Amino acid sequence: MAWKKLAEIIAREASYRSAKERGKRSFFRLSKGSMVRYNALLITIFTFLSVSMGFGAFAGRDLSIVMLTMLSLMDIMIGILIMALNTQVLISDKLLDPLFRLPISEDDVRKALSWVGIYWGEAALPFVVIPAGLVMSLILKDLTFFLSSLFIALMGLFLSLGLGYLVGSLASRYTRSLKGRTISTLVWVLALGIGFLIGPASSAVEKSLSSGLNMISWIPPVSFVFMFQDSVALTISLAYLLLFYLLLRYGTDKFWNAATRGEVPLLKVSAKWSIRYGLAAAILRELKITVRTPRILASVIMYSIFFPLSILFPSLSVSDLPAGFREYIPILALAVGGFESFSLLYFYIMEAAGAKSLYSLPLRRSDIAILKFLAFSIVNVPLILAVGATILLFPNAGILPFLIYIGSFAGSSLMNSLIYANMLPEEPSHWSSETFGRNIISILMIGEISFYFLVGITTFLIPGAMEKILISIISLAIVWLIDAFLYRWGQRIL
Amino acid sequence: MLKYKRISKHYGNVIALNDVTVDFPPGKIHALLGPNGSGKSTMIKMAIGLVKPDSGRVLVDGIDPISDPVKARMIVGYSPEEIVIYESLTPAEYISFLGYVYHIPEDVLKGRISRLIKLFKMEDHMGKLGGELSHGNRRKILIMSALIHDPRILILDEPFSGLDPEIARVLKEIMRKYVDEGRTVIFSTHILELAEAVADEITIMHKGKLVARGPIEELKGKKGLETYFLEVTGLTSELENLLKAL
Repeated sequence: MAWKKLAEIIAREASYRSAKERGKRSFFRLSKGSMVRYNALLITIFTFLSVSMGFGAFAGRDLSIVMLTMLSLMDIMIGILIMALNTQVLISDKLLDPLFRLPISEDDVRKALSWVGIYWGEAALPFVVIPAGLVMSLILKDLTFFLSSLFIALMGLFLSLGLGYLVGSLASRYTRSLKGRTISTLVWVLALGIGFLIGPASSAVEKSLSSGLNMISWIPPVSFVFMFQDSVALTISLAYLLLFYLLLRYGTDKFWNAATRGEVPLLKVSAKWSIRYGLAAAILRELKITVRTPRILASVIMYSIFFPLSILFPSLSVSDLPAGFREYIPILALAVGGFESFSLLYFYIMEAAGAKSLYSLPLRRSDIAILKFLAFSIVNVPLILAVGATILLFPNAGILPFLIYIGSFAGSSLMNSLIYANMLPEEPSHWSSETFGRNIISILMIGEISFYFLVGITTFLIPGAMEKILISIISLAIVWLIDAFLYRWGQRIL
Repeated sequence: MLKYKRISKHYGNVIALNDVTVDFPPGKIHALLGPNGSGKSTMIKMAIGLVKPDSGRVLVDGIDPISDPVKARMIVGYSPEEIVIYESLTPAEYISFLGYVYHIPEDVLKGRISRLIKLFKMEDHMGKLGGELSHGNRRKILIMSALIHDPRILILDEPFSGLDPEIARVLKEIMRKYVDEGRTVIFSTHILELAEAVADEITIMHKGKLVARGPIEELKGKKGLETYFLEVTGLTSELENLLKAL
């Protein structure tokens, strides 16, 4: 049973390093206390959540299917996040290397490696869906839900373990390999994007079920509920299960190869290099770190593009627009420009341990803020163009809302950058989300959203198109005034 | 010239520096010696304004690094003991960034980089990611970063750790060239033989206090540097007890 002990040691160390890298210090850490207790804690939380949602069955069969869909998406999201974070650390930090120098058989190490995901919390994953399925079956007196939940849990386990092992084997935390980077970034986008998909996917399932569309019963995870009464759903469900099982096999094999290679897996590394000069060199540094850190890149893509677009497009849907909507375009442009700046935080977090080296350089906090702002703006150019064109092309909108949008994007991005730069620790330190404090970041976001909300309310109360434009311009001026104040404050050395 | 005037620094109840006054004049290589926790790193960090003294004043070529850290850091080259590099950047990308930070003109930067690459034998490593570099190559990048802006004062914290003999020799020659040009060079080390071989002057710290200072030949005397070091730091009896356990 040496391999079980091995799996625990590997899991504990990878979890500790992963949490340390992200600057986490919460109680939710495998390295503290017993591993059984850690999994038990997760199982308790997941079961509570699952059972609570299972009571949705009192509202009927359709809502139960919607709830099960939501839970299965959460299950996959949590599973991929747990796995990907830890496997990348395991490979990057070569955690298996010391084991190969000890008298431990390869078979034991291999077994431990296959088991390690379960120790990271994957064992608790089935408890995201199965308790809900059980409760639903009891309430609806239909065993289908419980049986479906077993299959859904199995699918979630195969998929998250498979993708987790795959992403860990293809790309270490930092990589120039385009293939590794692309796959790793896609997996991260998938993991983070599922969070955004839960709402729309659930409402789509609800609408399809109420309109009697058969197609939805063939799409996992809904297909698993219908697999006992529909042969097509059964075939599709089993096909997916097999596909994800094969993915798991492929992922574990790739992971084993990567883990035993004894070096960080980098593919076709080019030794070519060149020196850049001036501001371009500084901005390129920012961009290179972003694109070489898949987790950060995925976060930037998600929060810079999907988040504002998820607000913008429902609002700008041309059909069913209320009369006088055109008057509100400047305010909408102002708010969207402001919302796009939230992901700028990732440009600070990506510095990680390297940030310590910045502290000995002749850099003011405002210098850092400007560099981050410029790099962030460059990354957002496609989005700025898309949103800007949408605003410009809006019938009779004119150029002013477009200018307000650009001014708002630049002003609030700079403001956030200056806020983060001024919040940076005095002592050389590893920058992570914990550096700024999650509560403070949340308060900042709420504060900014409230500001735009208040501006919106004010425009509703004050009639007239010209007045609304004026309110937008005054709001923009306030943002830029805050920028000026923060810039002055940021003249301090890092 | 680097000056420390009556510097004191506490970390909670721990005294890091206790009323230290010392000058490091240009034209000499200064070795800073002392056991772990003696205050060497605190002193070094004060020169670039990374650590603020509780009392006293530090002057870097007449500039106070606390009130004007940007100006001070522009003239100081600093290589820390802890190897911190960006794992996701190549040395070429990082040094390009330093060119921007130190406002080094393009043609000057080009010349300096090619010279440093040659000296430190980094031709084949400039395009690799920081995460792919060996310990020794990472140390070289830190030293190259400290030299890239041609500083008037060079401060190196344990610079020889991880360097192969050939590159260690190159570094010694660079340090000698710097002082010959009238600049100030300070380095810290635990290895007394290294201090003896490289330094012109030695400063010994112990428990936050300056316990000895002078030209190498003077301190070494007839007993040798190791014996002198153990005597002034009061470690002789401690060492004897340790050796008894052998």
